[in-house]
Amino acid sequence: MPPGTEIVVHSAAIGPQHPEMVAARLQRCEILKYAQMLGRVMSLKHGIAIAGTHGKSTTTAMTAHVLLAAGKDPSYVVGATCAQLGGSARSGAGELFVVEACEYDRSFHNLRPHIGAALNIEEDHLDYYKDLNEIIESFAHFLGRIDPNGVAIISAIDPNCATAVKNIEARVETYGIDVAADWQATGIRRYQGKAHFQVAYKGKKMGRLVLALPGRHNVGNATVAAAIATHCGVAWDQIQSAIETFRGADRRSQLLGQFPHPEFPGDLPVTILDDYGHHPTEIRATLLPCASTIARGGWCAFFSRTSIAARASCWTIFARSFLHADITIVPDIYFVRDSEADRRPSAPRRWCSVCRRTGGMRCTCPRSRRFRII
Amino acid sequence: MPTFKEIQDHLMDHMLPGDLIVSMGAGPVWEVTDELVRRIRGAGAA
Repeated sequence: MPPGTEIVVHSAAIGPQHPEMVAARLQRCEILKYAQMLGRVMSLKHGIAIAGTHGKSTTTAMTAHVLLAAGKDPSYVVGATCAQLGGSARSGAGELFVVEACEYDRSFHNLRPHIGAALNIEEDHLDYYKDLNEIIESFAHFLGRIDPNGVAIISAIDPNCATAVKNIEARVETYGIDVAADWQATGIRRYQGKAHFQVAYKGKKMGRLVLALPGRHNVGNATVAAAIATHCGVAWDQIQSAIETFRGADRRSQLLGQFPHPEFPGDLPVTILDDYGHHPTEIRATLLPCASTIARGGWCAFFSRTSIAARASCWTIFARSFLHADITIVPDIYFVRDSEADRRPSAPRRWCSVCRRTGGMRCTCPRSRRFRII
Repeated sequence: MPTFKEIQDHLMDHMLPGDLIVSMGAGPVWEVTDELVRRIRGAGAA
């Protein structure tokens, strides 16, 4: 620990016995969790916090990209690396501070944003929350911390979001696709790999957006980014051009490339994607456009390494989320915060048998004999 | 990481033109496709 250190900031995963934490206490440094520090920095700025079980990294990165392109010189912290943003965080001279607001460890309760978004609310992080009701209460607390003169943007179709904003002081605006909403996206068409759609605000036509990211869920994410940018005073033509040039965050349906097959170079290329999805809703949302638009006649191989798959009660739901894959390959399960007791039943072989029973699909793992005979 | 290597070997042996290969999940599963891209490029150049 360098002498003169005043504040030590640590992630929620670092415990009090970590050598640097011990040194920090000995040196009488102020010790803050990352989320506490984030809240402290946000209090100096005009905060924008984007929360939700899914889509928060992409939407935060897209919002930061639009504000950057519009010359707002924002600061931001995104929970994913984004090549276009030059990494995942930036300190700008502008007033705006955009952050990805995470519900784990109730981190987002440290924030007091001016604009807050809840993209959706579902069961996740069940190692930390007791059940869905507790998660909704946690989101309600986050949304309740939005500046009373600010705005909360929530999904128009998610009943959990509607519950979470019931008692908040800030103005509430909804977003949705082809449904009644304050921010309404309609008429999605796919052309040359891009989604083209119209956006209206409180019934007034704002204009068209073109988005290069796959999946219907990303149309919703872009609508939220456009809504936030509008509230920050960005002109619609600037929003349009910035959204169209956004290429996504790393590991979010990231296209690694299309490569000539080594043995059949004159034939169709092999397409390789990488995605962070580890929740059934995310996996389904990512695989659905793959199945309908990209894969033509070939088979797909998917590997899942996930922590919450360890929960036996979730296996069937997980298995169904891979229905759009022709072949699923499951390596050993990746553990983050699970206990020893959670780990035992999650052997990939057993997971595969649930997949096969549930979806009737071809699923394999390296330790299974089936792996050899596909 | 023998397990990931086995998956890469399997894919190199079995993939066909037009296939879509997705690595999905939290954790280091991205290493599978990262290395696979390198191997496909290497095999194409050979």
